[in-house]
Order: sequence, then C-alpha cells, then structure tokens
Amino acid sequence: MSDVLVKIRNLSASFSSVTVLKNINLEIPSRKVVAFIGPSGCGKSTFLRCLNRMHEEVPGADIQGQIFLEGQNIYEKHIDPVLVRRKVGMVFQKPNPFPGLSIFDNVAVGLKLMGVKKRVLYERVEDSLKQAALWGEVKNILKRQGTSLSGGQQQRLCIARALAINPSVVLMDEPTSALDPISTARIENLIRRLKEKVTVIIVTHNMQQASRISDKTAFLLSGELVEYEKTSKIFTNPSEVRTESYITGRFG
Amino acid sequence: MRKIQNKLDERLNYIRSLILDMGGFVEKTIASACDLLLDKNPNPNIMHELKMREEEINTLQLRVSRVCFKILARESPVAGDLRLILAIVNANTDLERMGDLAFNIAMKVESIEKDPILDEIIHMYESMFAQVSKMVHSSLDAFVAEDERLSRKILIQDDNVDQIRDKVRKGLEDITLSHNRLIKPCIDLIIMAGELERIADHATNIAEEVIFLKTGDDIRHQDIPDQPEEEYKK
Amino acid sequence: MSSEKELSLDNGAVIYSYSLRDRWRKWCNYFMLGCLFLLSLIAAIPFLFIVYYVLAKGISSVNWDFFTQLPKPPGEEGGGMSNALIGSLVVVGMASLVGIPWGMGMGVYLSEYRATRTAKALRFVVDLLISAPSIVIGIFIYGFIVVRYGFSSYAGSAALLLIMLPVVAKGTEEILKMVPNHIREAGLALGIPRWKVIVRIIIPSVLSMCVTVIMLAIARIAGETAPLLFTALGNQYHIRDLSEPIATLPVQIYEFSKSGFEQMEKQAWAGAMVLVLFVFFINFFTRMFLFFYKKDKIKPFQKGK
Repeated sequence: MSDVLVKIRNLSASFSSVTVLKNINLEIPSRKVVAFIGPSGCGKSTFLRCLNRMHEEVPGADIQGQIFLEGQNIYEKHIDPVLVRRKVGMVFQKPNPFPGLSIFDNVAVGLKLMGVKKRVLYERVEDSLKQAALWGEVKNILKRQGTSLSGGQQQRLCIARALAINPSVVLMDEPTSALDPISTARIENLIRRLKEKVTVIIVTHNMQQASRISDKTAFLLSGELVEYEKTSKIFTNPSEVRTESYITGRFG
Repeated sequence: MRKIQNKLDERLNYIRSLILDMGGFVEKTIASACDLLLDKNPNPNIMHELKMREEEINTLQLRVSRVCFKILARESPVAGDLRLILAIVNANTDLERMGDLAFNIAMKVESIEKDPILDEIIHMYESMFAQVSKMVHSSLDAFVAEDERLSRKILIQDDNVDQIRDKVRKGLEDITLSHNRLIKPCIDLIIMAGELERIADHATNIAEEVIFLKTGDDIRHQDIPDQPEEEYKK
Repeated sequence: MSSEKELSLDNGAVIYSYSLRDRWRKWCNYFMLGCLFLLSLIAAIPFLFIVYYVLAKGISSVNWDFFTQLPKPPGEEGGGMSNALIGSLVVVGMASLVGIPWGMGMGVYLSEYRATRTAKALRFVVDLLISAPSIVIGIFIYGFIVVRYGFSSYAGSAALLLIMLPVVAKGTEEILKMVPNHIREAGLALGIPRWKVIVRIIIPSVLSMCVTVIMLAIARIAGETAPLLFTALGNQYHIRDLSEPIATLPVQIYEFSKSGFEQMEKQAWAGAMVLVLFVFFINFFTRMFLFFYKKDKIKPFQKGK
C-alpha cells in the first residue's frame, strides 16, 4: 500500500550553471497522486523532467544526485534514457497530439516502435483509450487526425498515448492549464481513476486542483523542497509559514 | 518573498470586528441580567433595551454568516484562512446562542419573587455571573488575539462554573424541601443556573475554536479518533 | 452611471462623427495604401510582360515536332528540341535524385541538432552556398570535374546538385523549425529514440511543406543556364551515354537565341515557353497539393505560439 516507487536522493539540477533544484530528497509512494505546487520558476517542471531524463535533452543542462525508480537508479551510466522513458510517461501543458497522425496512430505509434505485434495493437490502443475515458467519443473516428479533436479530448488522447506503453509513473506538467472547467473536471476524474494502476505526479498552478486530486503535496520554492506532506495537512494546517503564505495567496 | 495586498484580509478583519460587536452585546445582556437579579438597576427602560439588543445580535449573526458564505464561495480559503473562517462560523453560532440564553435569564429574573431565604443563594449567583461574564470576555479576547494560553485557561474556568452550578442546585433543592411556597422561584433559579452554565459552555466552545484556529488541532472529544483519509474520498 | 451615459444616443453622435484630425488620418491611410498598391503593380508588370512575350513568340513554334524531333541544321525549317528536353529531364532528375534526400538530411541535421557546433558551422556554409552565384558553382565544377573527365551529364548534374543542396537543406530546416519543440519532447517522452522521432513523427507532420520546398528547388535548377554551359556543354543529338556532353533546355535556348537564324530563334522562343510553363506548373501543382493537405497538418503550428 505505502511502498515507495520513486526515491529521490540529493537531487540538484541546473541549466548552464544556474541552479534550479537544490538538494531535493523525497519519496513518492506507489499508486498515489502527488502534486507539486510552487510559484513560476521554482523548478517544478525541471523536477518532473528529471524524473524521465528529459532534463538532459536541453543543452547546458546538468544534474546531480540519484533517482531510484523501483529500486533502480535511473541515472546510472549504463541506463538508456529511452528505456527510462518507457517506464515514465509524460503529459504536457499544451495538448500536443502528433500532427499528421490519426487518433489511432497517435496512441499506437509508441507501441509500434516498441515492436508490439499488429494482432494485439488494436486491443492495446482500445484499452488505453478506454483508460483515458476517450474511447466512447472516438471509437467511430479513429482514422481522423488527432489534432481535429477538441482541446480536452486532445489532452485525454495525450494521456492515452502515455498510458499505451504501460508506464508505472505518469508525469503531468500542468495538464489542464489550457482547458475549460468541464474538460478540467473530466481530466481530474480521470487522474483519480488512474491511480488504481499508476502513480501520477502532477505539477499544477491551481491550488484547488492540487487539493482536490492529490494524496500528497510538495511545495517547492526557488528550487528548494519546503514542505512535503499529506494534501489534507498542507491545505488545512501546513507546518511551514512559507507554505501557508503561498497557498493562501499572500506572496508569490 | 513579495508580500501581496490581500482583499481577503480586509474581509476577515471585517467579520472579526462584527464578532467582537456581537460579543460586546452579549456581555452587556449578561450584565443587565445580573443587575436585575440583584435589584441594582433602576433603569425603567431596561426590558426594551434588552429586546433591542437581542435583535441587534440576531442581525449581526446573519451578517457574519452571509459574509462567511460569500468568502467560502468566492475566495476558496485554505490553511489558516480556512480555519479562521470555520472558527468564525462556529463562534458566530455560539455567540447567538449566548445572547438568547442571556436574554432568557433576564426575562426570568423579572418574574422571580424575592424572599430573604433566597438571599444567600442569590449571593452565590452573583459570583457565578461574575465568573461567566469573565469567561465570555476572555474568550473574546482570546479570539481576537488568537491567544492559545488564554483559551486553555478558559477551559479550566468552565469546571469552576460547573461546580458553582452544582452547589447552587443543591442549595435550591434543600430550600424547596423546606419551603413549599418558594417552589416556583426555586425552579426558575435552577433553570437559570443551567442556562448560565450553558453560556459558559459556549464560551468554552469559542476557546476551543481559538485553539483549533491557532494549532489546527481539534481538541473536542478527543476520545473519538480521526477518520482515515480513505473515508473522505468516498 | 457615466458609462451608461456615454452609450446613450446624444453622445453617440459625438463618438461617431469625424473630427478634422480623424479625416486627415483617414486620407493619410488611403494614400499610403494606394502607394503600396501602385508599387506592387509596377513590379508585377514586367513579369506579366515576360509571360505574354514568351507565350506570344513561342506558341507558333510549339508543335508535336518540337517535342519529338532533333534540331535541324541552321537554315532548315522544322525540327524540335527533344534532345534538350530529355537532356534537361536527365540532368535535373539525377541532381534531384541525389539532392533531395541529401539536402533533406542536412536540413534535419541543421534543425534537430541545431545547437551543436558542427551544425552552426554547417549552417554558415549552407547560407554562403545559397547566395553563391550559380556561375561560380559552374566554374568550380568545371575546374574540379570537367578538366579531368571532360564535359558530361554527370558534371551538369553535379553543378545543379550543388545549387540544389543548400536550397533544400535550408528549406527543410526552416520547416522543421516550425514544428514546436513540445512535439519532439512528446515523442522522446514516449521512449522513442531521437532519430525515430524525427523520421516517424516530425517529418510526416510536415511532409506536405517539404514537398513545396522540393518542388521549388526543382523549379529553381530547371532554369539554370550558366553552370550548365561549362559542365553539360550541349549536344546536337540524343545521348547514348551519361558520360557524354548533354543538351539541356536552358543552354539550348541560349545558343539558339544568339545563332542569328530566324528558325532557331523561333525554336528558342518555343523552348523558353516550355520552360516557363514547366516552372509555372510545378508551382501550380505545389499550391494545389498544399491546398488539399493543409487543413489537418499545418494548422496546429500556426495556431500555437
């Protein structure tokens, strides 16, 4: 129940010698929703991108420390980032289905390139779309362009795409900041259901969203982990003054 | 850290001041009831004044609860703000009840027949009134200053009031046994003692709210364990 | 209250009537617009003249023979330019066959690995090559290939290839740059290796625009004359071997037009017309292609930031 899925030890990260994360230590339990909050530029997104080794794709990026995913340090020399990313899915701020690919192919492309057999491909795609609560809306238009869907549907398509390769963690970088309240509510419900299967780590600027959907919340401030606690504790009685002033909107 | 001017703070200060006004009226009503009992008040208009005050309290209660409702709906307060709003909502109800009880007591005092036999008991009431209004006063002080230590003191004082109430009750029971003609005022006095004690209880509630507001710990009925997180999710 | 008043009818008259200044501004606007329109028109006139002139002069000589016959000796009537037409197709075809994949590859490298030092150096070279006069490229190939192996269709193709490469590379790079970075990241985040992300996701999404670049590059080299003069040279007959000199349309037009014989000048006009139409149709088909494919594929990049 409370076993640790991701363990982060002394994680520091920088962009061309500007430090964005300072010595982060925390543990993320399995099958929970963990929210990261904090003002813009506090390093939330960088933190997420460290978890699937996307941080190093940016020129000038540097990283120190260890991240253990299911006990394996993903920053060890012999580990291929490509394999790490198959275990750690990611959903971005702006819905970004692959342009020029159909709805089906958007979900299938990751599987195809992983060498999933044609026979099971359709099943896997259907399954992922169902998990992302999109199947009902798209089952008759699978051949249409992914980009022809509405914003909320596109974002769910992106979630389906991330789920298709069966990750154990899904990272979400402000997944609803570009969506209307209804689409947001749909995605929030989806996230609540997703945690039966995967761990969801979500970065959000929306305090209410963090308090609604997450089990644990971490507050980052200029690269430091200020507080990491049960969500109900953070939003009713945070132990740090800085957390309190941030979530009550008294500084930022 | 850059401080941000917050509209919420202004609103919270506003309802805090409303709560204080209510508390002031409640204290005055308690004082008037005491004066009436001890025949200290020659003011002929006292009944009318009490009536007006009671209405004032009701109006204030409505105003506070409406503002709180709007703040909850529009500002979605969290953490300290959320606890403050909850404390204010609860204190609001407590104060209104206190106002009602004090008003009831004053009404009963009017009709109590005076008798020398009762003098000793009535003297005990004086100290009970003094204790209760002190509690009410300090609970409001604690509320405004968010003073946890003062609140804990109030919790202890509540026991004193309970003791006086028991003593008074015992005395009155004895009088009823020996003086049949005094049964009616004795019953009234017993009920009054109960009502006074209830006012003290409400003051205690406010003190508990202050502790919750300050520390986030709910100290009411600590024998009942907190539900697990899963229960909230259902 | 006051805002309501401003919206009322009495004040509306004030808002919607022009002051002198407003009127002046309005006329200024019309004047500038007129100037711009006139300048554009003046620039378009020579172009229209060229098209008209080439069509008027060339149309009388374009017939079946023109496409199927070899040129007749000077002074004789009839004949055609089939050798030059086929020659152009061969030379342009060979250059494209090599140049398109090569150039696109360079473009992909320049765009997808844009921050590396080699990419920066390469970009500089490509920019230089784009602006190099085509005759310089011709001379270079002459000195490099023709001097050693003689005039040949290979040499002609090599010259066109050198012109085409930077155009395709630069075009591809610019198109790929339009693909937002988060699309690449989405691919990478799925655990797809970088080169597969490029080949399977990025390029398909901009395929239609790549087609434009390729078409325009082909149109560009189809009309080149100068570099072919010293490389492909020309030939009176159909070629039997690619290592021989080969006739090409632009070169043949050039030679016929300065021959002094009326018949050959007529043929040159006809050749010019075919060339202009060829380039025109390439452009036209590209536009049509884009028109039908645009809807889905290009939209997302224009909508976003």
